[in-house]
Amino acid sequence: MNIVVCVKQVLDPEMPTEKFRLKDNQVISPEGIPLVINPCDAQAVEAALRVKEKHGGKITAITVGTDESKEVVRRALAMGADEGIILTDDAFAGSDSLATAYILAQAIQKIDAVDLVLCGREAADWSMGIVGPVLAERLNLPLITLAKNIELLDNNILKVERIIPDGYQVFEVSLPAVLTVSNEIGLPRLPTGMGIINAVRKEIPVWSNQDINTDVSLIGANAEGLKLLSLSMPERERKCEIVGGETPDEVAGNLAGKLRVAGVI
Amino acid sequence: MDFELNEEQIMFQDMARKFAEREILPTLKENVREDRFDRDIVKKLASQGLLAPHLPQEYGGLGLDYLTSAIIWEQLCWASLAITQAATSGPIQPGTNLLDAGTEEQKQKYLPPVCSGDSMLVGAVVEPNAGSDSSMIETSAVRKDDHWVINGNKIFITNGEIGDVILVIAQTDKTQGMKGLATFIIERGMPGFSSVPLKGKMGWRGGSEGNLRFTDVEVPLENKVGETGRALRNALRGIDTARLFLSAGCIGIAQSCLDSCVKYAKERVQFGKPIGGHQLVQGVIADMAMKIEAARWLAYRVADMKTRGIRHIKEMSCSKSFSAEMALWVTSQAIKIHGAFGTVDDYPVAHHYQDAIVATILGGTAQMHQLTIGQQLLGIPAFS
Ligand SMILES: Cc1cc2nc3c(=O)[nH]c(=O)nc-3n(C[C@H](O)[C@H](O)[C@H](O)COP(=O)(O)OP(=O)(O)OC[C@H]3O[C@@H](n4cnc5c(N)ncnc54)[C@H](O)[C@@H]3O)c2cc1C
Ligand SMILES: Cc1cc2nc3c(=O)[nH]c(=O)nc-3n(C[C@H](O)[C@H](O)[C@H](O)COP(=O)(O)OP(=O)(O)OC[C@H]3O[C@@H](n4cnc5c(N)ncnc54)[C@H](O)[C@@H]3O)c2cc1C
Repeated sequence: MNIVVCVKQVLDPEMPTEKFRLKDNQVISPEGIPLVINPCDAQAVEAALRVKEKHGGKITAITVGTDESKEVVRRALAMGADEGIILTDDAFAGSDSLATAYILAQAIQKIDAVDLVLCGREAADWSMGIVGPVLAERLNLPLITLAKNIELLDNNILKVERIIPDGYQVFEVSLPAVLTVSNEIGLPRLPTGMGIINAVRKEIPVWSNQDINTDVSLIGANAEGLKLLSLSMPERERKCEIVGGETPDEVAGNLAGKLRVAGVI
Repeated sequence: MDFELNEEQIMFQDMARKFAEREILPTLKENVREDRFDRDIVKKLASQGLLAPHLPQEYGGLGLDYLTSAIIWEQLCWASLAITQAATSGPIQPGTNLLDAGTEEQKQKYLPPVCSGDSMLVGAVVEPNAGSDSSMIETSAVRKDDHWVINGNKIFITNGEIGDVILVIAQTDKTQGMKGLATFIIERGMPGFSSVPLKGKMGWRGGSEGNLRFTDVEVPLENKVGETGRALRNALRGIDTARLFLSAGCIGIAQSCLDSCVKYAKERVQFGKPIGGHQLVQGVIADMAMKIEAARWLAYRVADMKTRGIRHIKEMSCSKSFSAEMALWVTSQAIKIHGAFGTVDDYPVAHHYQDAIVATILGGTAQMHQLTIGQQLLGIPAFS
């Protein structure tokens, strides 16, 4: 099994909103707080590792980013991925989701005999969830989104449980295919000590546009598939109300009433 | 001078912290309440590669430098100092002792199973009449034909009740004082060896200690570690490592208390505003941060000196003692900031406070470190 996992570097989603600022419709990340691997992408790596543990194979973690994106690829390597690739070029800067998917597709086509491409369900920064589907389209491969469990059957068939609002669907897809992985897949494993030691010593190849030959009119800021008009901080209002009543029963009744009016229950 | 952690150190820091959150915190409250040490944690630390980061890879460690290893300890202790110490103490003091003084056969036989968490190694020095003063050790070792016969007691020994292999320092000739001390490997199951758990502790709960008794325990000659007369010297590097890790651990518990205070002081409202808005509360929190920063950079500096092989006797004593006293102050202030809630185990502060007081004693008391620093500065030993 030759598995490619697409990993993206994002601002730590655990970070409280007051920590970062907006300027000219751009998010200014606070100094000293390192970017992290997109949580769903760590879960996609986890899914790949589970397949590899059972059936063997090779996992390549790939990212479109800057030199700093080394860290997300290292993180995937430390968890147990075998290889990493960083795609970086001035021409890639400012790419939107469509362009990012195109860049990834060009790179993946350069990797030999890929059986499975895994993406996270969405990136925690913009929550677009577009890259995976567009990537499948670009690669002309079948797509299953929101996988919560995957299992390799015989004859190169992958059984995929896909999350839906009240449960899940079961699909079988013949490989190669593209999947987006949902958080229901479970907690990603922590990198081991030896994993970290090996990951930081591993050379990670950097590919530029020359290596993957994209049409530059379709990537970077020029492509402008999507224009961001305005960006603002979410405003939250908090209110505290003490619910009264003569007896505990009455207090509970009043509370339930208020929760119902508020649409919480 | 480069004060930035490297990529590897940051990854270990992050991983150790997440391990502590996933594997130590969920059962902490019960383990502390019942003063129960959960031996599973040793295996989990081993498979994560966190049990013996400082020992060489050829014996099952990771071969990391002391700074990275100390950072790992700091993060594990953020959850619990007592549990981290109980779980990892084997590879630290006795493990290093064996590495420094053991024969190749002894190292091959005992170290890999310790690093994999299959066997627990224990270092037994302290006795009823020999605490800070090791020259008072009374446990005796008498040579008889093809073996040694050991008699005596050891107390307050980490994992004394559950450990599999014990490194015991014993006296071979009372008239020789320190020069008569030698180290022996005793395995649980050897006739005449017994142990009881230490109960009723006010702190270090969830850790594991025991008292040992040796009654005519026959130990084969090949179980002697190093030369007679060098027992304490051979133990020194391991004791030094234990001091470094304790120092880092104290910083971990203090940081946990600061984290909890910052959060609590923003949430708890009294007199019409969050208590963090009252200047007196803010002042305490600021002082906490100052002391933690000072302790942390001193400890990191000492760790770096140790890795580089620079003499650091004075600095290590400064660091161990400063960190422990700092942690005692920070943890006690943290309880006060949490008010009555701070005295209950829904918050981490009370548990850390109970560990901090113990951390001022093991790894050398404050007075022992003052005397060490004094001797280094003045050239006059004032221990007796
Ligand atoms: C409105 C808007 C504003 C933007 N503003 C900024 C900005 O201020 N600064 C800035 O730097 N960028 C900005 N971008 C660019 C944004 O970072 C790219 O769109 C991004 O690389 C594509 O990710 P996505 O959020 O659409 O991913 P999604 O489609 O949500 O991601 C799904 C999955 O695709 C994969 N994936 C996504 N991106 C990558 C990648 N780069 N490498 C490898 N795999 C990937 C991952 O597996 C991920 O889980 C903006 C984009 C939009 C749409
Ligand atoms: C949780 C825990 C785990 C432990 N694990 C181990 C272990 O694994 N192996 C092991 O061998 N031991 C272990 N110990 C024992 C520990 O090493 C000793 O407690 C420590 O060395 C101090 O000895 P003591 O308690 O006998 O105190 P004492 O030496 O009796 O000291 C009592 C007091 O007198 C002071 N004092 C003593 N001498 C002087 C002096 N010359 N000048 C000024 N003041 C002085 C001390 O500072 C202290 O305040 C452990 C202890 C604890 C609490």
